[in-house]
Amino acid sequence: MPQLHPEVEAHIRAAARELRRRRYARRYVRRLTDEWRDHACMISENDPASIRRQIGDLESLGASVCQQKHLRPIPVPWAALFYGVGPVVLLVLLSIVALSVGGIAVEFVRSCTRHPENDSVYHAFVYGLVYACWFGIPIITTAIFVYITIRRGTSMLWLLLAVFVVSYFYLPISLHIQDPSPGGRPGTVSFGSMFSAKAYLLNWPRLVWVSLPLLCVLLPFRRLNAVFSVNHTTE
Amino acid sequence: MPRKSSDFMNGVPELVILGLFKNAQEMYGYEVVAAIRDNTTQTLQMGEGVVYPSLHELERIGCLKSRRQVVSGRTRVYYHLTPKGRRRLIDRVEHWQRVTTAITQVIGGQTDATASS
Repeated sequence: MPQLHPEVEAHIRAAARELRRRRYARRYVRRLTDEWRDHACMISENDPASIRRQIGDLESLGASVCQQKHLRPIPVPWAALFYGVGPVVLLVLLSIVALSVGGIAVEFVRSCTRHPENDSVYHAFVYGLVYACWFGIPIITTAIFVYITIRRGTSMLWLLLAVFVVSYFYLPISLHIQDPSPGGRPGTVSFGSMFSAKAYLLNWPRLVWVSLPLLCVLLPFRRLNAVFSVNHTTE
Repeated sequence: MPRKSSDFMNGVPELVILGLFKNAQEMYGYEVVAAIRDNTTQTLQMGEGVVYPSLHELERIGCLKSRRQVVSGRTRVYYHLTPKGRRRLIDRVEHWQRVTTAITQVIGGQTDATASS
């Protein structure tokens, strides 16, 4: 396997950085750089003393890609957060998270003070641990989704998925949905409900109730994406 | 509505590339560049800066389709012609023939006039 000259490799990386700076989609840039590397290797295979030519060809290729009107930059998701409807989406997301965290705090304090099993320090500790897991997992998941959206430049769908996770796990509890355990009271969460997560997750009416608004947002969003973005990655 | 001459000039790389793909199963970028050079006995020398954006544009409008394959440890993008691309090629060839006929008539007329004067 022929190795690229370090200077050529550095040039490809610089060109890729430039395209990213111009807000080309990461997948498209990766595909371009794959083509450039292959092209440079082919030149090298056929003409070993052509390092300078490789660089020249890649320079003209990079410049032409940047100048082509029909290859307009594709807005990357993180940029969409700051333009158009992006700030609204961001605001809604942050509001949901903030309200949920507030709800969690209130619920936690209520549960700790009301539940008879929380009399001992041990029970309070276990209870806190269960709470931490129950709410920590969606928080971490949401953080991962947001990270992927920002760093990998995949799709705004990830953000919407994060909204879904937040809604599904946080909102029903924050809004004091009735304890699913037998004899549970509204506004309280007992150990029984904590360990009946399966029953909670398999509550299809609730799933539909939470999913419907998401679908309403998702469907037009995908259509908008199709209208405003140029799909260069049809491979 | 008839196309402007600038449209025709802009369409030359597209016509050449589609023409190459007519007889080839699939090709990758470097192959296309080399094929243009070889098949035109180096009369046409389209740089990579023209060929690759044209390939991407043809793919975007659905005339070409691509697939990625790892070859010798690096990723290679192979392109092949789609039915839409075949139809576009026929259309472009017809257009090319109309324009070249017209240009030949004009050049021929001018040559005759120069010879008679």
